[in-house]
Amino acid sequence: MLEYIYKGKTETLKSELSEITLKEFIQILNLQKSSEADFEFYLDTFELLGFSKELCDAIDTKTLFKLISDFKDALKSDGEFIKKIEVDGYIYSAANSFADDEFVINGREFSKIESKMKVDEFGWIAYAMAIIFKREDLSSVEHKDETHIKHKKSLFLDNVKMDVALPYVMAITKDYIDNIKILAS
Amino acid sequence: MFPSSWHEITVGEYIELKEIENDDDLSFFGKNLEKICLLTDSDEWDEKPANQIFKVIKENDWLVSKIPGNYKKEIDDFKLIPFHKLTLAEWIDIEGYIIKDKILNVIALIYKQHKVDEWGNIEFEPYKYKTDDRLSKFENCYITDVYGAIEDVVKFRENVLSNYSELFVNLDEDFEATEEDKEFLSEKEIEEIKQDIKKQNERKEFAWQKLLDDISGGDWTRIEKLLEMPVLFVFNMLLMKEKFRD
Repeated sequence: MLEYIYKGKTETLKSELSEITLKEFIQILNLQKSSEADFEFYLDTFELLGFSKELCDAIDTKTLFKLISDFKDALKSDGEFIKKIEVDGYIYSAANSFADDEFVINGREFSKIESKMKVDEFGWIAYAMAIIFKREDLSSVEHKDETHIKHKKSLFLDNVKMDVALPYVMAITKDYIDNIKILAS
Repeated sequence: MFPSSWHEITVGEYIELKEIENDDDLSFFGKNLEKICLLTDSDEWDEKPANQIFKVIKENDWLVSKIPGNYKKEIDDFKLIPFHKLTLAEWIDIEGYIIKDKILNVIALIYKQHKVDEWGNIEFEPYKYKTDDRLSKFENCYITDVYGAIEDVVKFRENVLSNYSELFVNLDEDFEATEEDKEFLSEKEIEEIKQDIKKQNERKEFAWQKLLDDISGGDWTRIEKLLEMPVLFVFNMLLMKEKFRD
């Protein structure tokens, strides 16, 4: 969390991956896509992550450069896979997607995620998390049920943070880039 | 055991592979996963690591290669009919099968039983059979035995349609008035054009019936005989009539 005092009041900015939700991350990606300039993107992002509009409109360039630099430093991921999360009192586990402590996604799940990639440029990230993380008290039939996956997706959007999601997103994207694009071409 | 080339793929399997390929709901990886499950007759691949499936896809790039065009002229007791010998009835059905992508029916139609007559000529069986009754005979033959024949009959059809283009009227699928149309035509006139095209398209569904009615001179008892005539002869005669009408 970065802090900035503006007009005698302390304003806070979520800057750690453990503070940013999946929903906010997807919003940031959309901002990045639609912004015509870098600084515009950062100002919109800072507003999304906690700063007031008044502060973002008034911020001077020197402070903005410093904030961007601090923000980038804080956003780093250690790449560690978190394999269990608790949401609304239930434990969700990604243990099935690991073999010898290595993240290994199975064919059917990858196929579903890739289909979502085709139609939802950034929303697939939340869908992928819903596919990978399975509620421990439910059966494999329920894990595969699309309605349940959809429910998990909307639950995770507000409750799962990017320190959990990013290593998975990076691994899936790497598989996608390494294999699919070469094959498809 | 995973097949190693198109030479090991049956017509039935090819049709299923094509259905998978044309499934817009499936992604690139999803299509390949379905194909692997189909060709190994196993769903175990669903649970296997994606990277292992990628490896299988890479090793079997023949699946995206062109199917060899050398085909068999004879399959068991069936012989490929020279396309210029196709009758009007056979042409009408082939048209329908090609448009609906029913390749097994195309195969069952163009490979026919035959005999050698007393003069040593090859005589093909008349078109008295239903292709649907013969699908099972060809479902298990290899796609490489027949694929080139299908390509050739499609080419033959395209050539005929092009050579006799004056006989086939292409209608607009739909009519949307442009800004220019709106400037010069009243709303009523635009609506009349739309209705006219709609009516013509509805008539198009009965194009073959209309043709048969025309060439039989309205005498439907003659239609059966006309259907047995070589299609190229019928089209030549129609084209000649068209020219003289001009």
